[in-house]
Amino acid sequence: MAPVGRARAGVILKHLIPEEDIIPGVSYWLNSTCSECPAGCGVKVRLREGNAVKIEGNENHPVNHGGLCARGQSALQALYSPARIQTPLRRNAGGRMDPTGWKDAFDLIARSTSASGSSEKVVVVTSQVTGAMRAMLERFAAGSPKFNFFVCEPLDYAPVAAANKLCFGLEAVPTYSFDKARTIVSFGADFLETWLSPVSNAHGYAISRNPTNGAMSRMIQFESYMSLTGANADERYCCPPGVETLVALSIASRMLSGTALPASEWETWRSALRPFTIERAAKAAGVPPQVLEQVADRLRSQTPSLALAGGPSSHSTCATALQVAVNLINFSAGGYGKTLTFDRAEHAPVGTYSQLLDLVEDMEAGRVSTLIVHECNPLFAFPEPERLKTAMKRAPLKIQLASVRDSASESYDIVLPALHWLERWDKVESRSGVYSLQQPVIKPWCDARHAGQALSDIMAVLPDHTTRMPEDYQQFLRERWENIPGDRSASEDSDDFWKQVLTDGGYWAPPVSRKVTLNARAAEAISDFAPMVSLSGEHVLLPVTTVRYGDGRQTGRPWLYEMPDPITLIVWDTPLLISLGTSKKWNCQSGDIVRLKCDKGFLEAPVYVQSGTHDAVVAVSLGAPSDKYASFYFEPANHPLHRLRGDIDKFSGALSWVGTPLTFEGVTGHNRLARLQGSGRQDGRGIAQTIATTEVGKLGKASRRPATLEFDLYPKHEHPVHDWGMVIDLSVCIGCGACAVACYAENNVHVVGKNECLRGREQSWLRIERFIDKGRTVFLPALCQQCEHAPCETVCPVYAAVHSSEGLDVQVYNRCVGTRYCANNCPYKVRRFNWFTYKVDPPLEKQFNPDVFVRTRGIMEKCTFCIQRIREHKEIAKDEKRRLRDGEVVPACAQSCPTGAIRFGDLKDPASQVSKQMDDPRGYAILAELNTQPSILYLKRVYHADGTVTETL
Amino acid sequence: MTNEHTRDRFEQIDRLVLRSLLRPGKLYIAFSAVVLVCLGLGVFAYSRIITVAIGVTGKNNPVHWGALITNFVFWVGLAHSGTLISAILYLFRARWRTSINRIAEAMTVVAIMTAGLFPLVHMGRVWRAYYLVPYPNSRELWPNFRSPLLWDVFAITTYMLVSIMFFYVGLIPDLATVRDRSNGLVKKVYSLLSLGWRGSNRQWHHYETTYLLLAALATPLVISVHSVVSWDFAVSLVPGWHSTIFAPYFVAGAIFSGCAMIIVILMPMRKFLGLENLIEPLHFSMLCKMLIFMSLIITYSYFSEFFVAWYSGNVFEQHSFYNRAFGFYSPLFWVMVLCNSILPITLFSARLRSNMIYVYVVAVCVVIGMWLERFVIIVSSLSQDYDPYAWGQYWPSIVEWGITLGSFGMFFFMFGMLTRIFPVVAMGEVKSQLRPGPGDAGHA
Repeated sequence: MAPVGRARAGVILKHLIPEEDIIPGVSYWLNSTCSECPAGCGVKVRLREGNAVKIEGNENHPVNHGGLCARGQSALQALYSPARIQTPLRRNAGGRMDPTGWKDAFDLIARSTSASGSSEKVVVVTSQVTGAMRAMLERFAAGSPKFNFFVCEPLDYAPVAAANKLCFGLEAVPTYSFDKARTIVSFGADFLETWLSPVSNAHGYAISRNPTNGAMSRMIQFESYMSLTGANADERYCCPPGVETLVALSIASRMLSGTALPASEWETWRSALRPFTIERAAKAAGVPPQVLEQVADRLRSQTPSLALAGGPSSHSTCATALQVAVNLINFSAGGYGKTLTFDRAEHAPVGTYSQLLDLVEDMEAGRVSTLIVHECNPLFAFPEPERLKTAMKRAPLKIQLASVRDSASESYDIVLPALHWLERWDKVESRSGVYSLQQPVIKPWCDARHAGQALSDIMAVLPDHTTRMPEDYQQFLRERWENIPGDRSASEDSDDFWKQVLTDGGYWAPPVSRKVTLNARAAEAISDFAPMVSLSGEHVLLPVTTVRYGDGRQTGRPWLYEMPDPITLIVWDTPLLISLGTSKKWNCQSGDIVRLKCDKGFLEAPVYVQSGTHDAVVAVSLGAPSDKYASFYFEPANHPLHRLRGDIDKFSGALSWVGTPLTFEGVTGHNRLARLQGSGRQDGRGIAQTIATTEVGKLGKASRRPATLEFDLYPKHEHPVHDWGMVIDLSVCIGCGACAVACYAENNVHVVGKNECLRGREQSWLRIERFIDKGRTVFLPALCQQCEHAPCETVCPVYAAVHSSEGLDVQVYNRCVGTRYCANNCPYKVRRFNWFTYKVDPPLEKQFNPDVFVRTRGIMEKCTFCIQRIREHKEIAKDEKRRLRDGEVVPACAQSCPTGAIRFGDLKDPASQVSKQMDDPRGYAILAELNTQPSILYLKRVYHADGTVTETL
Repeated sequence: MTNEHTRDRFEQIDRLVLRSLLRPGKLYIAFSAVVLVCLGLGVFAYSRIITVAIGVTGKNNPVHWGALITNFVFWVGLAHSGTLISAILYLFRARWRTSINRIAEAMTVVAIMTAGLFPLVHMGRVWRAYYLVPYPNSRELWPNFRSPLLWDVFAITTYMLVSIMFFYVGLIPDLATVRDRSNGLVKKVYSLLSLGWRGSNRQWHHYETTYLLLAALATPLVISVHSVVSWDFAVSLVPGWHSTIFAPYFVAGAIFSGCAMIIVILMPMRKFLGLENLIEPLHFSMLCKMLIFMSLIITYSYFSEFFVAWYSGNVFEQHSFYNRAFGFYSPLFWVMVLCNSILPITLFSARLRSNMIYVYVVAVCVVIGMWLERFVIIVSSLSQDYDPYAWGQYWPSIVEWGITLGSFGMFFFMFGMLTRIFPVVAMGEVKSQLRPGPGDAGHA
């Protein structure tokens, strides 16, 4: 067994006497379903000695197909968060929260509600819940007019559902099949980051990017700030926020002419769309009209095509009109049934802002007696926090039910600890017909209850609510699992079924086919469209969501703090993103704290000059690093959602995110931003390489590790059994950073803090570099290249850096004396030095992988292709008396990749996937001229030669 | 030449030189106090590395080596002039060396001891230093003989041992003189140290042979030690380090800085120890000529490095040198050029060369310039190498400045101690160079 850090040994090996089922040194995998966002990816969790140490995507799951985003992986840091609510808390007379017991808490609830009148409401405000929990809440709501529940998600898809209701009579969000699309036109949707189901989207997108068959998809993005999706786009057009609607309508108008529709409907649409000419949209968007014409023609000619809209700037007062336009485009291009379908609906319905306003009015009027907030923070998402706070004060009893403290926990009367989703049984249905399993992977370590159970227990003590409640949520859940609708054959034994569910991570009912017909009444959403106010001369606020903090709930996760934003490459902070033009106008530089006036006060935060930002936009990402591990954390001085004016899209009732004007008031200070990329200039270094689609076919055969020298001073390394190698396809790397976080989790990589990052001492073994080559953005995962002719090995005076017989450059931690010569001599700069002994706040250390040394001060460390995983599988193969199979060993980075850009295998085995790909003509080794002979082959990013060109990062 | 006259001269020299071994003056005590405070600060700064971690220095990724390695190379460089002046000039029969070779040798010994500490300080966990020593152990683990750092271990150790030996052998006749002029416990100690020297013809004969052989042994070491130190850089593949001219370039730089440091030390010593009659303007003039010569060599090296970088067409080399001259560290680079390439050339003027204050200022500038040269080579090359993503900046932390100050404190403290224990001028050799008659200052 690999040694563990001395200081933590006692914690990691706490089960010296094996508990039932736990064999020290053997890892177990259990399936569950991620609840970090409503997408509901299937996951499997690795258990060692009773601790959950790694979370990965479930390959069998129809949503994510094995990948998992950074936020999902960081769930372990919420499971073992120092901010977990460990016992029920109640507010004492002094206003502070005191620990109490469950019984006392329920007594208190019963006491305080019996006083209030029975005519008042009980309201549950919850984050997205599906499946069994939703069924229970619906049952409550059906059983009592006084019971209400409200699903509060900052990222709602209400305009999509509203538009589909108008167009097709289906109030649902379809599933999007990017894999089948040849043309993808996105109006602001950051579908590779947070929009709808990002891992699923990225998986499909990568399939559509296959450059070998000549049908690589083309992705066209209209947006007003630089999103990761926009950076990946073949064509990216930067237009003012809100103008996407005009653009989409003009494209729809052009495409409508050839659409098969009944004459009367055709006329309705035509008259509705008449004002939206290409010229008008092109003028508003600031792009040549030919571009929009071309996009419209491509959507129709390069089929199957897919248009989608979403993302921050589409959250406008005309959000539904935009979605209707997109529906029209997809309908005209014949996308329904091919690239998007209602056979499975994505996301159960979510409460809208106007419903939330109703709730607030109810509270203000004193009509709410009990407010129960489950795993969400309305104060985070509501644009008028003071109003909400005052309204909440009118409710006599406010209960929070959450696993991790959030920034509003202080404002409740009672805080009840809920089980983390990794500690509970549940049934989740994030897509209709996809019944995903949640099961407890560890023994709960807090005095917490299942949220469903706690809710039902609360209901039981409330007056007039006792009869209709399921007493035991576990029993209720079992019934849900047993009564899955669909054509599950009756003969199937329920035990067998259950075993299958446990193995697969759920049960996927066959999709229900649903055809769509266009309803011309939807045209009213368009004809009522009022163009946005002119933006000339002023700036508007644009709240944006990123892969790092998502919609703001994952703010308490150290891994995410230290994961650089893929676009700005800044860790920890979330600065205001402005354009170069704005920075010149304001005479400020990156890092300067600016004060911006808006209707509701001020916004004060450091700026970062990001190319690709529209001159009229100040983009602010949701979420901020919290030193107290709180979720939904925000800086009051720069939380964008609190500056919104509260405009509503009247068709969907959704909150508009666009339209808060900002006035510059001056620079008030400076805050150094920790940007990890030293420089983005390649200057002919050829580190990140690209190739046009037209050139791919002309490439000759590449040979692995081009040997530049025949003579070698030292004898060649022998690899008798294995020679590990990796292929990274830059064509499908979208830069999401999931691999980097997977590496942190797998290899116990330390999080060092912003100040250390500022000094260039981040510990990441794997990083995503962002470069421009031939005007195309390339995301390049950089990790140890495991050179065959490694510069680090020869210079180590004590043989701490040595070459293994399997072609790995390994680092012997307890041999390292810390000369750091190896790191100087590494041209890829992928070695990391432990400048200090870094600490983690307990109980986060429970997540540590016991197979990997926890490094202390003075030790050099680096990627080893997850040598512990290689060992584990070699030993399993040895026990089973067989050879290792290709694909059996998967390093953490390759496993997490939603797009399958990272491939790993044995180069000694000519039949392995990597061996075959080593001959890919797109292949190149980074800095091959140094004769380091890397074991990683990069495949050049393929681009459409006629796409748009980016000059600067 | 009469015997009587000679004996008087010998007596004069002995008295003059041995004055420094008498009761220390206030000036010496004040000097020692200042350097001890510096040393104390250095020790305190170093204790931070021991108790916290090496992270208290300013180093980072990509600049894993910084001021501490700069100090190492700097002090190794200073250690060169001693052997150069003693051994090489001895072999070349440059007689003017006799009055300054003792000081130069003492400087060598003290500087190499100071230098030797820096790799240990730099490692952070000094208790693991023995991993670098090839000692038999049950795990059959040996150090990696391919690593230039291991070559350093051998080169520095060898050089230190030979330098100490050379220093000591040269001292023997003078130690005997001290023994003859002392009494009590001191006499016993010097008796032991002088190894029973009686000054017989036979002993002088053996002594001269040993000295010649040691000089012959030390001479290649002067070249080899700094060549090996330069290979720490040249053998790597960092652009800006990876260069074939590094060995001669570093040796020249070492001799350059060493000569400058001798001037820096010699001039106050001459004044405060009253050695004006033994250490004459001629010596400084000679040292200045060496400075000019070495300055020309290293200026050529600077030029050659830039030319090769430009001519190679290699983007990494080109960028590295562009960054050196015009990047973040460019002010240091241009100060270095001023100190090492421009100021020493002014010494071509005999008038300036004879101005002791000017010579002193130039020498101090050269010492600073050579420290900066090492800093610029090490840090600017590392800060921007192959992968632009990983580029970064480094600036020494207060701990590194403290340790640097402490190293100067240690150097001057040890040097001051040596002047109290050993005669600062090789009396025996000076006597051998005496010419008959008064007013015979000139040689050669």
